[in-house]
Amino acid sequence: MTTNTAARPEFFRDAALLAGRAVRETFRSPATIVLGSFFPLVMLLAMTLGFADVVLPGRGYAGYVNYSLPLFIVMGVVFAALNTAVATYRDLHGGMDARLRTVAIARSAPLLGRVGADAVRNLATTVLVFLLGFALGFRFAAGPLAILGFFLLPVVFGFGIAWFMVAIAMRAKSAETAISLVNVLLLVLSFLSTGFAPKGSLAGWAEPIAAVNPLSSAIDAMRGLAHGGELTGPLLATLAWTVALTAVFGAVAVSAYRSRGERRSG
Amino acid sequence: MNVVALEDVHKRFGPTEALRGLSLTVAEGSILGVLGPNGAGKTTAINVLTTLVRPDSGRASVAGYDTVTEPDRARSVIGVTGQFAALDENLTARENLNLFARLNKLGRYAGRRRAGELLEAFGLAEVGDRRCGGFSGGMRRRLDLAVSIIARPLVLFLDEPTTGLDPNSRAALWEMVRGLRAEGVTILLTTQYLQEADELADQIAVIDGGQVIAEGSVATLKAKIGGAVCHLTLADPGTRARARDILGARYRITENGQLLSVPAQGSRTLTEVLRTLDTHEIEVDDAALRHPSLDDVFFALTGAPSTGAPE
Repeated sequence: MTTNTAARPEFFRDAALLAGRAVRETFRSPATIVLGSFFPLVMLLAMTLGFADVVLPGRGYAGYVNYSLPLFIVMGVVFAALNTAVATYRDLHGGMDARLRTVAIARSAPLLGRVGADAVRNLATTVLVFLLGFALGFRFAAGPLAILGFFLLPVVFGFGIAWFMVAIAMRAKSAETAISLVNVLLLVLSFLSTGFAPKGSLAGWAEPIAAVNPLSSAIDAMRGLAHGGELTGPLLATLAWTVALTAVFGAVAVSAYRSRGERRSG
Repeated sequence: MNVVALEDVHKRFGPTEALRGLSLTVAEGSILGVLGPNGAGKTTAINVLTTLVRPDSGRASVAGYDTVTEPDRARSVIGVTGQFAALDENLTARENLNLFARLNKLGRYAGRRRAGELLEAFGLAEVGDRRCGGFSGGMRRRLDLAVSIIARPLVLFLDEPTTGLDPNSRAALWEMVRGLRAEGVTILLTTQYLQEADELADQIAVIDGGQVIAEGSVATLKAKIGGAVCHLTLADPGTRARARDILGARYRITENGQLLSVPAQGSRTLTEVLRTLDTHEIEVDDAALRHPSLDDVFFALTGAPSTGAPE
Protein backbone atom coordinates (compact mmCIF):
# COMPACT_ATOMS: atom_id res chain seq x y z
CA MET A 1 0.00 0.00 0.00
CA THR A 2 2.70 2.47 0.96
CA THR A 3 5.58 0.38 -0.28
CA ASN A 4 4.75 0.85 -3.95
CA THR A 5 5.38 4.59 -3.75
CA ALA A 6 8.16 4.56 -1.15
CA ALA A 7 11.21 3.70 -3.21
CA ARG A 8 14.26 2.44 -1.34
CA PRO A 9 16.59 5.38 -1.98
CA GLU A 10 13.94 7.69 -0.54
CA PHE A 11 13.70 5.50 2.54
CA PHE A 12 17.37 6.05 3.31
CA ARG A 13 17.18 9.73 2.40
CA ASP A 14 14.25 10.28 4.78
CA ALA A 15 15.91 8.22 7.51
CA ALA A 16 19.13 10.20 7.07
CA LEU A 17 17.29 13.53 7.30
CA LEU A 18 15.57 12.41 10.49
CA ALA A 19 18.79 11.01 11.91
CA GLY A 20 20.39 14.41 11.28
CA ARG A 21 17.58 16.04 13.15
CA ALA A 22 17.92 13.58 16.05
CA VAL A 23 21.69 14.13 16.22
CA ARG A 24 21.17 17.88 16.53
CA GLU A 25 18.59 17.29 19.20
CA THR A 26 20.93 14.93 21.06
CA PHE A 27 23.84 17.33 21.19
CA ARG A 28 21.58 20.15 22.36
CA SER A 29 19.86 18.16 25.08
CA PRO A 30 21.46 18.71 28.49
CA ALA A 31 20.08 15.42 29.83
CA THR A 32 21.73 13.48 27.04
CA ILE A 33 25.01 15.31 27.44
CA VAL A 34 24.99 14.46 31.14
CA LEU A 35 24.23 10.76 30.66
CA GLY A 36 26.36 10.30 27.57
CA SER A 37 29.46 12.18 28.71
CA PHE A 38 29.56 13.62 32.23
CA PHE A 39 28.20 10.48 33.80
CA PRO A 40 30.75 7.99 32.40
CA LEU A 41 33.58 10.52 32.73
CA VAL A 42 32.83 11.26 36.37
CA MET A 43 32.36 7.57 37.11
CA LEU A 44 35.65 6.75 35.47
CA LEU A 45 37.49 9.46 37.36
CA ALA A 46 35.88 8.74 40.74
CA MET A 47 36.27 4.98 40.50
CA THR A 48 39.85 5.23 39.35
CA LEU A 49 40.93 7.70 42.00
CA GLY A 50 38.87 6.10 44.74
CA PHE A 51 38.80 2.37 44.15
CA ALA A 52 41.72 1.48 41.91
CA ASP A 53 43.70 0.12 44.80
CA VAL A 54 40.75 -1.76 46.26
CA VAL A 55 39.79 -3.57 43.05
CA LEU A 56 43.27 -4.28 41.73
CA PRO A 57 45.73 -3.75 44.62
CA GLY A 58 49.18 -2.54 43.75
CA ARG A 59 48.62 -1.95 40.04
CA GLY A 60 48.11 1.80 40.12
CA TYR A 61 45.66 3.96 38.24
CA ALA A 62 46.83 2.75 34.84
CA GLY A 63 46.25 -0.87 35.78
CA TYR A 64 42.70 -0.14 36.90
CA VAL A 65 41.87 2.06 33.89
CA ASN A 66 43.20 -0.53 31.49
CA TYR A 67 40.95 -3.05 33.17
CA SER A 68 37.74 -1.08 33.61
CA LEU A 69 37.59 1.50 30.83
CA PRO A 70 35.20 -0.64 28.73
CA LEU A 71 32.76 -0.70 31.65
CA PHE A 72 32.44 3.08 31.67
CA ILE A 73 32.07 3.26 27.90
CA VAL A 74 29.32 0.65 27.97
CA MET A 75 27.59 2.37 30.88
CA GLY A 76 27.71 5.69 29.02
CA VAL A 77 26.20 4.01 25.96
CA VAL A 78 23.34 2.24 27.70
CA PHE A 79 22.42 5.04 30.12
CA ALA A 80 22.44 7.75 27.44
CA ALA A 81 20.08 5.51 25.47
CA LEU A 82 17.44 6.28 28.11
CA ASN A 83 17.12 9.61 26.34
CA THR A 84 16.36 7.78 23.13
CA ALA A 85 13.29 6.40 24.87
CA VAL A 86 12.42 9.85 26.21
CA ALA A 87 12.81 11.55 22.83
CA THR A 88 10.83 8.84 21.03
CA TYR A 89 8.06 9.09 23.58
CA ARG A 90 7.99 12.87 23.26
CA ASP A 91 7.69 12.64 19.48
CA LEU A 92 4.84 10.15 19.74
CA HIS A 93 2.83 12.12 22.24
CA GLY A 94 3.77 15.67 21.38
CA GLY A 95 2.44 15.98 17.85
CA MET A 96 5.74 15.66 16.00
CA ASP A 97 5.09 12.07 15.03
CA ALA A 98 1.56 12.86 13.83
CA ARG A 99 3.03 15.53 11.60
CA LEU A 100 5.66 13.17 10.24
CA ARG A 101 2.96 10.67 9.37
CA THR A 102 1.06 13.26 7.35
CA VAL A 103 4.12 13.82 5.16
CA ALA A 104 4.80 11.44 2.31
CA ILE A 105 7.90 9.80 3.80
CA ALA A 106 8.85 6.16 4.22
CA ARG A 107 6.93 4.65 7.13
CA SER A 108 9.74 3.49 9.35
CA ALA A 109 12.12 6.33 8.56
CA PRO A 110 11.43 8.15 11.86
CA LEU A 111 12.39 5.05 13.87
CA LEU A 112 15.46 4.29 11.79
CA GLY A 113 16.49 7.95 12.01
CA ARG A 114 16.25 7.83 15.79
CA VAL A 115 18.31 4.65 16.01
CA GLY A 116 20.84 5.98 13.51
CA ALA A 117 21.39 9.08 15.63
CA ASP A 118 22.22 6.83 18.57
CA ALA A 119 25.19 5.46 16.64
CA VAL A 120 26.64 8.97 16.36
CA ARG A 121 26.10 9.66 20.04
CA ASN A 122 27.60 6.32 21.06
CA LEU A 123 30.72 6.93 19.02
CA ALA A 124 31.08 10.34 20.70
CA THR A 125 30.70 8.75 24.15
CA THR A 126 33.27 6.09 23.32
CA VAL A 127 35.83 8.61 22.08
CA LEU A 128 35.33 10.95 25.05
CA VAL A 129 35.67 8.25 27.68
CA PHE A 130 38.67 6.82 25.85
CA LEU A 131 40.39 10.23 25.87
CA LEU A 132 40.01 10.62 29.64
CA GLY A 133 41.10 7.02 30.07
CA PHE A 134 44.14 7.68 27.94
CA ALA A 135 45.07 10.61 30.18
CA LEU A 136 44.75 8.31 33.19
CA GLY A 137 47.03 5.72 31.63
CA PHE A 138 44.88 3.55 29.34
CA ARG A 139 46.94 2.05 26.49
CA PHE A 140 46.07 -0.37 23.69
CA ALA A 141 48.07 -3.56 23.41
CA ALA A 142 46.59 -4.71 20.12
CA GLY A 143 46.73 -4.21 16.37
CA PRO A 144 44.92 -1.47 14.43
CA LEU A 145 42.08 -3.77 13.41
CA ALA A 146 41.39 -4.65 17.04
CA ILE A 147 41.52 -0.96 17.96
CA LEU A 148 38.97 -0.21 15.27
CA GLY A 149 36.84 -3.01 16.66
CA PHE A 150 37.18 -1.52 20.15
CA PHE A 151 35.60 1.74 18.95
CA LEU A 152 32.96 0.07 16.81
CA LEU A 153 31.75 -2.50 19.29
CA PRO A 154 29.90 -0.04 21.57
CA VAL A 155 28.25 1.46 18.48
CA VAL A 156 27.11 -1.96 17.27
CA PHE A 157 25.91 -3.03 20.72
CA GLY A 158 24.23 0.38 21.12
CA PHE A 159 22.17 -0.37 18.02
CA GLY A 160 20.44 -3.26 19.80
CA ILE A 161 20.02 -1.14 22.94
CA ALA A 162 18.50 1.68 20.88
CA TRP A 163 15.80 -0.63 19.48
CA PHE A 164 15.08 -1.80 23.01
CA MET A 165 14.59 1.84 24.10
CA VAL A 166 12.44 2.71 21.08
CA ALA A 167 10.23 -0.33 21.74
CA ILE A 168 9.86 0.70 25.39
CA ALA A 169 8.82 4.21 24.34
CA MET A 170 6.37 2.80 21.84
CA ARG A 171 4.60 0.59 24.35
CA ALA A 172 4.89 2.68 27.51
CA LYS A 173 1.81 4.29 28.99
CA SER A 174 3.91 6.68 31.04
CA ALA A 175 7.41 7.70 30.03
CA GLU A 176 8.49 8.42 33.60
CA THR A 177 7.50 5.02 34.94
CA ALA A 178 9.11 3.19 32.05
CA ILE A 179 12.33 5.17 32.29
CA SER A 180 12.61 4.65 36.05
CA LEU A 181 12.18 0.90 35.65
CA VAL A 182 14.70 0.65 32.83
CA ASN A 183 17.10 2.83 34.82
CA VAL A 184 16.99 0.33 37.70
CA LEU A 185 17.44 -2.57 35.28
CA LEU A 186 20.52 -0.94 33.74
CA LEU A 187 21.99 -0.18 37.14
CA VAL A 188 21.54 -3.76 38.32
CA LEU A 189 23.01 -5.11 35.09
CA SER A 190 25.98 -2.76 35.43
CA PHE A 191 26.79 -3.97 38.93
CA LEU A 192 26.08 -7.62 38.30
CA SER A 193 28.53 -7.70 35.43
CA THR A 194 32.21 -8.40 35.03
CA GLY A 195 32.74 -4.65 34.67
CA PHE A 196 33.47 -3.49 38.21
CA ALA A 197 35.21 -6.51 39.56
CA PRO A 198 37.05 -9.38 37.92
CA LYS A 199 35.30 -12.69 37.30
CA GLY A 200 35.52 -14.87 40.34
CA SER A 201 35.44 -12.00 42.83
CA LEU A 202 31.64 -11.66 42.58
CA ALA A 203 29.36 -13.37 45.10
CA GLY A 204 28.48 -16.92 44.15
CA TRP A 205 24.80 -16.18 43.37
CA ALA A 206 25.81 -13.29 41.09
CA GLU A 207 28.23 -15.31 38.98
CA PRO A 208 25.62 -16.89 36.65
CA ILE A 209 23.90 -13.53 36.19
CA ALA A 210 27.18 -11.86 35.32
CA ALA A 211 27.96 -14.66 32.90
CA VAL A 212 24.81 -14.22 30.79
CA ASN A 213 24.65 -10.44 31.26
CA PRO A 214 24.92 -8.72 27.84
CA LEU A 215 26.85 -5.89 29.46
CA SER A 216 29.49 -8.42 30.60
CA SER A 217 29.81 -9.74 27.06
CA ALA A 218 30.31 -6.27 25.60
CA ILE A 219 32.79 -5.28 28.30
CA ASP A 220 34.78 -8.53 28.00
CA ALA A 221 34.83 -8.27 24.22
CA MET A 222 36.22 -4.73 24.44
CA ARG A 223 38.87 -5.89 26.89
CA GLY A 224 39.85 -8.60 24.46
CA LEU A 225 40.01 -6.10 21.63
CA ALA A 226 42.11 -3.66 23.66
CA HIS A 227 44.57 -6.01 25.26
CA GLY A 228 44.24 -9.40 23.66
CA GLY A 229 43.12 -12.36 25.68
CA GLU A 230 39.78 -14.10 25.45
CA LEU A 231 37.89 -12.52 22.56
CA THR A 232 35.88 -14.91 20.40
CA GLY A 233 33.42 -15.99 23.11
CA PRO A 234 32.41 -12.54 24.39
CA LEU A 235 32.50 -11.05 20.88
CA LEU A 236 30.09 -13.66 19.54
CA ALA A 237 27.90 -13.27 22.62
CA THR A 238 27.78 -9.50 22.12
CA LEU A 239 26.87 -9.85 18.47
CA ALA A 240 24.24 -12.45 19.34
CA TRP A 241 22.74 -10.12 21.93
CA THR A 242 22.75 -7.27 19.42
CA VAL A 243 21.01 -9.36 16.77
CA ALA A 244 18.49 -10.67 19.29
CA LEU A 245 17.72 -7.23 20.74
CA THR A 246 17.38 -5.78 17.25
CA ALA A 247 15.18 -8.60 15.97
CA VAL A 248 12.87 -8.76 18.97
CA PHE A 249 12.60 -5.11 19.92
CA GLY A 250 12.90 -3.86 16.36
CA ALA A 251 9.90 -6.00 15.45
CA VAL A 252 7.97 -4.83 18.51
CA ALA A 253 8.78 -1.19 17.77
CA VAL A 254 7.96 -1.34 14.07
CA SER A 255 4.71 -3.23 14.54
CA ALA A 256 3.61 -0.93 17.36
CA TYR A 257 4.53 2.04 15.21
CA ARG A 258 2.54 0.82 12.24
CA SER A 259 -0.60 0.19 14.26
CA ARG A 260 -0.37 3.58 15.93
CA GLY A 261 -3.05 6.16 15.42
CA GLU A 262 -5.87 3.68 15.69
CA ARG A 263 -6.02 4.15 19.42
CA ARG A 264 -6.34 7.88 19.29
CA SER A 265 -9.65 9.62 19.37
CA GLY A 266 -10.73 13.22 19.51
CA MET B 1 -15.04 20.99 -7.51
CA ASN B 2 -14.77 19.35 -4.12
CA VAL B 3 -11.16 19.05 -3.08
CA VAL B 4 -11.97 17.42 0.24
CA ALA B 5 -14.63 14.77 0.65
CA LEU B 6 -15.79 12.54 3.47
CA GLU B 7 -18.56 10.16 2.45
CA ASP B 8 -20.55 8.39 5.13
CA VAL B 9 -17.50 7.75 7.29
CA HIS B 10 -17.80 5.61 10.40
CA LYS B 11 -15.05 5.23 12.98
CA ARG B 12 -15.19 3.48 16.29
CA PHE B 13 -12.55 3.52 19.03
CA GLY B 14 -13.43 0.65 21.34
CA PRO B 15 -16.84 1.46 22.79
CA THR B 16 -16.84 5.03 21.45
CA GLU B 17 -18.36 5.79 18.08
CA ALA B 18 -16.35 8.83 17.09
CA LEU B 19 -17.85 9.20 13.62
CA ARG B 20 -21.32 7.98 12.73
CA GLY B 21 -21.78 8.46 9.02
CA LEU B 22 -20.01 11.78 8.67
CA SER B 23 -20.15 13.37 5.23
CA LEU B 24 -18.43 16.63 4.37
CA THR B 25 -17.16 18.39 1.30
CA VAL B 26 -14.99 21.44 0.80
CA ALA B 27 -15.08 23.32 -2.48
CA GLU B 28 -11.80 24.28 -4.10
CA GLY B 29 -10.35 27.49 -2.77
CA SER B 30 -12.86 27.88 0.03
CA ILE B 31 -12.78 27.58 3.80
CA LEU B 32 -15.03 25.09 5.57
CA GLY B 33 -15.45 25.68 9.27
CA VAL B 34 -16.26 22.52 11.20
CA LEU B 35 -17.92 23.54 14.37
CA GLY B 36 -18.73 21.34 17.31
CA PRO B 37 -18.24 20.82 21.03
CA ASN B 38 -15.46 18.70 22.54
CA GLY B 39 -15.86 15.06 21.56
CA ALA B 40 -18.04 15.85 18.55
CA GLY B 41 -15.59 14.05 16.24
CA LYS B 42 -13.80 17.06 14.78
CA THR B 43 -10.27 15.78 15.37
CA THR B 44 -11.15 12.26 14.22
CA ALA B 45 -12.54 13.72 11.00
CA ILE B 46 -9.26 15.55 10.45
CA ASN B 47 -7.25 12.44 11.34
CA VAL B 48 -9.17 10.43 8.74
CA LEU B 49 -8.63 13.06 6.07
CA THR B 50 -4.94 13.40 6.87
CA THR B 51 -4.32 9.62 6.67
CA LEU B 52 -3.66 9.28 10.40
CA VAL B 53 -6.75 7.20 11.06
CA ARG B 54 -8.28 4.57 8.81
CA PRO B 55 -12.07 4.76 8.63
CA ASP B 56 -14.09 1.64 9.51
CA SER B 57 -16.35 2.33 6.55
CA GLY B 58 -17.05 5.09 4.10
CA ARG B 59 -14.60 6.97 1.96
CA ALA B 60 -12.26 9.91 2.48
CA SER B 61 -10.40 11.69 -0.27
CA VAL B 62 -8.19 14.72 -0.74
CA ALA B 63 -7.72 16.21 -4.21
CA GLY B 64 -9.26 13.01 -5.53
CA TYR B 65 -6.78 10.74 -3.74
CA ASP B 66 -8.28 8.14 -1.45
CA THR B 67 -6.67 8.49 1.98
CA VAL B 68 -6.67 4.71 2.53
CA THR B 69 -5.61 3.35 -0.86
CA GLU B 70 -3.37 6.23 -1.97
CA PRO B 71 -2.08 7.66 1.31
CA ASP B 72 1.25 8.93 -0.03
CA ARG B 73 -0.41 10.81 -2.87
CA ALA B 74 -2.89 12.30 -0.42
CA ARG B 75 -0.02 13.26 1.91
CA SER B 76 1.82 15.00 -0.87
CA VAL B 77 -0.99 17.55 -1.35
CA ILE B 78 -1.92 18.34 2.26
CA GLY B 79 -0.63 20.42 5.12
CA VAL B 80 -1.74 19.85 8.70
CA THR B 81 -1.66 22.00 11.79
CA GLY B 82 -2.80 19.95 14.75
CA GLN B 83 -4.01 20.99 18.16
CA PHE B 84 -0.53 20.70 19.58
CA ALA B 85 2.30 22.56 17.91
CA ALA B 86 4.26 19.80 16.19
CA LEU B 87 7.71 21.32 16.38
CA ASP B 88 11.08 20.07 17.47
CA GLU B 89 11.84 22.34 20.40
CA ASN B 90 15.56 21.67 20.22
CA LEU B 91 15.72 22.95 16.67
CA THR B 92 15.55 26.56 15.59
CA ALA B 93 12.55 27.87 13.70
CA ARG B 94 14.58 27.78 10.49
CA GLU B 95 15.80 24.23 11.12
CA ASN B 96 12.24 23.03 11.65
CA LEU B 97 11.22 24.59 8.34
CA ASN B 98 14.26 23.23 6.51
CA LEU B 99 13.66 19.73 7.84
CA PHE B 100 10.09 19.60 6.60
CA ALA B 101 11.03 21.22 3.33
CA ARG B 102 13.50 18.40 2.69
CA LEU B 103 11.08 15.69 3.89
CA ASN B 104 8.55 17.15 1.45
CA LYS B 105 11.10 16.57 -1.32
CA LEU B 106 12.03 20.19 -1.84
CA GLY B 107 15.66 20.57 -2.85
CA ARG B 108 18.15 21.95 -0.35
CA TYR B 109 18.26 25.43 -1.86
CA ALA B 110 14.59 25.67 -2.80
CA GLY B 111 13.78 24.57 0.74
CA ARG B 112 16.01 27.16 2.35
CA ARG B 113 14.61 29.92 0.19
CA ARG B 114 11.05 28.91 1.00
CA ALA B 115 11.89 28.72 4.73
CA GLY B 116 13.32 32.23 4.58
CA GLU B 117 10.23 33.54 2.81
CA LEU B 118 7.91 32.02 5.37
CA LEU B 119 9.90 33.32 8.35
CA GLU B 120 9.63 36.76 6.80
CA ALA B 121 5.94 36.46 5.94
CA PHE B 122 5.00 35.15 9.39
CA GLY B 123 6.93 37.77 11.32
CA LEU B 124 9.49 35.28 12.59
CA ALA B 125 12.55 36.48 10.69
CA GLU B 126 14.20 37.93 13.80
CA VAL B 127 13.80 34.78 15.85
CA GLY B 128 14.42 32.40 12.97
CA ASP B 129 17.71 31.16 14.37
CA ARG B 130 16.52 30.67 17.90
CA ARG B 131 15.36 27.34 19.23
CA CYS B 132 11.60 27.31 19.19
CA GLY B 133 11.41 25.73 22.65
CA GLY B 134 11.51 29.27 24.02
CA PHE B 135 8.78 30.65 21.76
CA SER B 136 5.49 32.08 23.01
CA GLY B 137 2.24 30.29 22.20
CA GLY B 138 1.47 32.70 19.37
CA MET B 139 4.92 32.33 17.80
CA ARG B 140 4.68 28.55 17.99
CA ARG B 141 1.33 28.52 16.25
CA ARG B 142 2.64 30.77 13.51
CA LEU B 143 5.70 28.62 13.02
CA ASP B 144 3.54 25.50 13.10
CA LEU B 145 1.35 26.97 10.37
CA ALA B 146 4.45 27.94 8.38
CA VAL B 147 5.79 24.37 8.61
CA SER B 148 2.48 22.97 7.43
CA ILE B 149 2.50 25.09 4.28
CA ILE B 150 6.21 24.72 3.50
CA ALA B 151 5.52 22.61 0.42
CA ARG B 152 2.60 24.74 -0.83
CA PRO B 153 -0.16 22.23 -0.11
CA LEU B 154 -3.39 22.30 -2.10
CA VAL B 155 -5.36 21.56 1.04
CA LEU B 156 -4.68 22.76 4.55
CA PHE B 157 -6.19 21.24 7.68
CA LEU B 158 -6.28 23.34 10.81
CA ASP B 159 -7.40 21.61 13.99
CA GLU B 160 -8.50 24.28 16.45
CA PRO B 161 -5.72 26.58 15.31
CA THR B 162 -6.24 29.35 17.83
CA THR B 163 -7.15 27.43 20.97
CA GLY B 164 -5.34 29.00 23.88
CA LEU B 165 -4.11 32.06 22.01
CA ASP B 166 -4.48 35.63 23.19
CA PRO B 167 -6.72 37.93 21.11
CA ASN B 168 -3.84 39.60 19.25
CA SER B 169 -2.24 36.31 18.24
CA ARG B 170 -5.63 34.98 17.24
CA ALA B 171 -6.30 37.96 14.99
CA ALA B 172 -2.83 37.62 13.44
CA LEU B 173 -3.41 33.95 12.71
CA TRP B 174 -6.79 34.69 11.16
CA GLU B 175 -5.08 37.17 8.88
CA MET B 176 -2.64 34.49 7.73
CA VAL B 177 -5.44 32.01 7.10
CA ARG B 178 -7.27 34.57 4.98
CA GLY B 179 -4.03 35.22 3.10
CA LEU B 180 -3.69 31.52 2.31
CA ARG B 181 -7.21 31.34 0.99
CA ALA B 182 -6.44 34.33 -1.20
CA GLU B 183 -3.57 32.28 -2.64
CA GLY B 184 -6.06 29.57 -3.56
CA VAL B 185 -5.44 27.09 -0.74
CA THR B 186 -8.49 25.04 0.20
CA ILE B 187 -8.88 25.00 3.97
CA LEU B 188 -10.77 22.88 6.45
CA LEU B 189 -10.63 24.22 9.97
CA THR B 190 -12.22 22.93 13.13
CA THR B 191 -13.09 25.20 15.95
CA GLN B 192 -15.10 25.47 19.11
CA TYR B 193 -15.20 29.20 18.68
CA LEU B 194 -18.28 30.36 16.84
CA GLN B 195 -16.71 33.73 16.26
CA GLU B 196 -13.78 32.07 14.51
CA ALA B 197 -16.04 30.19 12.10
CA ASP B 198 -17.99 33.39 11.53
CA GLU B 199 -14.78 35.33 10.79
CA LEU B 200 -13.11 32.83 8.48
CA ALA B 201 -15.44 30.27 6.99
CA ASP B 202 -17.31 30.42 3.69
CA GLN B 203 -19.30 27.36 4.64
CA ILE B 204 -19.98 25.85 8.02
CA ALA B 205 -20.72 22.30 9.08
CA VAL B 206 -21.96 21.89 12.60
CA ILE B 207 -21.18 18.43 13.91
CA ASP B 208 -22.25 16.68 17.06
CA GLY B 209 -22.00 13.00 18.00
CA GLY B 210 -19.96 12.22 14.88
CA GLN B 211 -22.57 13.49 12.43
CA VAL B 212 -23.29 16.71 10.60
CA ILE B 213 -26.35 18.26 12.17
CA ALA B 214 -26.43 21.36 10.02
CA GLU B 215 -24.47 22.84 7.17
CA GLY B 216 -24.55 25.78 4.86
CA SER B 217 -23.27 29.30 4.57
CA VAL B 218 -23.02 31.38 7.70
CA ALA B 219 -26.03 33.41 6.54
CA THR B 220 -28.12 30.31 5.79
CA LEU B 221 -27.50 28.90 9.21
CA LYS B 222 -28.41 32.14 10.85
CA ALA B 223 -31.60 32.31 8.80
CA LYS B 224 -32.46 28.78 9.93
CA ILE B 225 -33.16 29.88 13.44
CA GLY B 226 -35.03 32.96 12.37
CA GLY B 227 -34.14 36.36 11.11
CA ALA B 228 -33.10 39.49 12.87
CA VAL B 229 -34.86 40.91 15.91
CA CYS B 230 -35.50 44.52 16.99
CA HIS B 231 -34.76 45.11 20.63
CA LEU B 232 -36.45 48.13 22.18
CA THR B 233 -36.00 49.79 25.55
CA LEU B 234 -38.51 52.51 26.36
CA ALA B 235 -37.61 55.76 28.09
CA ASP B 236 -40.54 55.51 30.49
CA PRO B 237 -41.23 51.99 31.80
CA GLY B 238 -44.81 53.11 32.49
CA THR B 239 -45.50 53.23 28.76
CA ARG B 240 -44.48 49.63 28.18
CA ALA B 241 -47.93 48.07 28.50
CA ARG B 242 -49.36 50.56 25.99
CA ALA B 243 -46.49 50.01 23.56
CA ARG B 244 -46.94 46.26 23.83
CA ASP B 245 -50.63 46.52 22.96
CA ILE B 246 -50.03 48.84 20.01
CA LEU B 247 -47.18 46.75 18.53
CA GLY B 248 -48.83 43.45 19.50
CA ALA B 249 -51.63 44.25 17.08
CA ARG B 250 -49.17 43.93 14.18
CA TYR B 251 -46.19 41.86 15.42
CA ARG B 252 -45.54 38.76 17.48
CA ILE B 253 -43.66 40.51 20.22
CA THR B 254 -41.93 39.08 23.24
CA GLU B 255 -41.17 40.78 26.50
CA ASN B 256 -38.09 40.20 28.55
CA GLY B 257 -37.78 42.50 31.52
CA GLN B 258 -37.46 46.04 30.21
CA LEU B 259 -36.78 44.72 26.73
CA LEU B 260 -39.37 44.40 23.99
CA SER B 261 -38.37 42.17 21.08
CA VAL B 262 -39.99 42.36 17.66
CA PRO B 263 -39.15 39.90 14.86
CA ALA B 264 -37.75 41.97 12.02
CA GLN B 265 -37.72 41.73 8.26
CA GLY B 266 -34.61 43.78 7.80
CA SER B 267 -34.25 47.37 8.89
CA ARG B 268 -37.67 48.36 7.57
CA THR B 269 -39.36 46.76 10.56
CA LEU B 270 -37.22 48.83 12.87
CA THR B 271 -38.20 52.03 11.05
CA GLU B 272 -41.88 51.07 11.15
CA VAL B 273 -41.79 50.24 14.81
CA LEU B 274 -40.08 53.51 15.69
CA ARG B 275 -42.52 55.49 13.54
CA THR B 276 -45.53 53.76 15.14
CA LEU B 277 -44.25 54.45 18.63
CA ASP B 278 -43.49 58.04 17.68
CA THR B 279 -47.05 58.50 16.40
CA HIS B 280 -48.31 57.37 19.81
CA GLU B 281 -45.82 59.64 21.53
CA ILE B 282 -43.97 56.79 23.23
CA GLU B 283 -40.34 57.70 23.68
CA VAL B 284 -37.66 55.10 22.95
CA ASP B 285 -34.45 55.03 24.96
CA ASP B 286 -32.62 52.36 22.92
CA ALA B 287 -33.41 50.54 19.69
CA ALA B 288 -31.24 47.93 18.01
CA LEU B 289 -31.46 45.48 15.15
CA ARG B 290 -29.73 42.30 16.21
CA HIS B 291 -28.77 39.34 13.99
CA PRO B 292 -28.60 35.96 15.66
CA SER B 293 -25.08 34.89 16.61
CA LEU B 294 -23.67 31.48 15.81
CA ASP B 295 -24.10 30.82 19.51
CA ASP B 296 -27.83 31.09 18.95
CA VAL B 297 -27.54 28.78 15.94
CA PHE B 298 -25.64 26.24 17.94
CA PHE B 299 -28.08 26.35 20.80
CA ALA B 300 -31.03 25.92 18.50
CA LEU B 301 -29.42 22.94 16.74
CA THR B 302 -27.94 20.95 19.60
CA GLY B 303 -29.96 22.13 22.54
CA ALA B 304 -26.68 22.76 24.31
CA PRO B 305 -24.71 25.94 24.61
CA SER B 306 -21.44 25.96 22.71
CA THR B 307 -18.21 25.68 24.61
CA GLY B 308 -18.04 29.44 24.49
CA ALA B 309 -16.74 32.22 22.32
CA PRO B 310 -13.21 33.45 22.92
CA GLU B 311 -12.93 36.32 25.25
